[in-house]
Amino acid sequence: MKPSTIKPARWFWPWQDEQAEAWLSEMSKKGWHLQSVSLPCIYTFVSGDALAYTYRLDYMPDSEARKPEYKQIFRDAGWDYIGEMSNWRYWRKLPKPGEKAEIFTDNESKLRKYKRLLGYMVFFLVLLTYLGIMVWRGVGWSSTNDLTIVAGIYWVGAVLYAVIIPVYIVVVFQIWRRVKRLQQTQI
Amino acid sequence: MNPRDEITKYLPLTESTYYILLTLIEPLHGYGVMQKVDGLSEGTVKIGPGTLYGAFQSLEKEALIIKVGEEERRKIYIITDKGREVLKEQYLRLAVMVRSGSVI
Repeated sequence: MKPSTIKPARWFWPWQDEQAEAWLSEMSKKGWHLQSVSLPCIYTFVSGDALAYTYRLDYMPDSEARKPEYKQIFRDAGWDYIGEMSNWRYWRKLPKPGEKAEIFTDNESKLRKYKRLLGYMVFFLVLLTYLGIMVWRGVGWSSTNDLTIVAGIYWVGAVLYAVIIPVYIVVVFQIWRRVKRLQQTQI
Repeated sequence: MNPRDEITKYLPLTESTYYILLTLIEPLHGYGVMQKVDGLSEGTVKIGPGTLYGAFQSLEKEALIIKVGEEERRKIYIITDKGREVLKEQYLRLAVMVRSGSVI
């Protein structure tokens, strides 16, 4: 029988990586195995035998030059690379009986993953806020100069930023909370 | 900073970092490190690939290990003199900890 594929749409926030991992494992248990990931959040699954795969996501905004070494270390440890979507790298392993498959085996390295993520999200937030301020200034400038069309365009931009910036604030806050929680597990 | 602080600022090492440095007394690539740590720690410490890759990056940046070769896509590292000093310092501290804990 020719394997079939499905592409269910599913949205995960950047702080929901563990929910995404659990969902992918559930899909594999039903016989749908992740084949590729692509923007915006398109997950392609291929049909096969039901298997208890463990999925793990790493956030790694790394240079292309370092990628071969990175991937090789994971492969040597028995992990299959599925793909990458906005710096998230998707890995999968079929654990041996009794094995708990993890890509991060201590709290410190897991914490570093979320700190990388937090750093990137803070960077975007600062950038968006800067651009947002520029657009707001544009609204004022074009209105006082009676440039109705230009002001209209600036208004659209201003509304967009007014939506995106609060979203990013929530994202940064949630990831920051995650980092704090991980730090608290150290006594 | 005095030269001693240059060494002690890395302490205490995490269990993973301690074992990774210890295995790199001889040149090894990532896969070799993972296997050797499993053996040396008698199965008590497992090193996942994400943890190992991160450790390689930061240890190399701090010049505690150095790349000595490459086999296909696997980089081979070895501990540096500075890395050895850090390891030695950690070892001495651990020895004290074990001695003082013998009352248990």
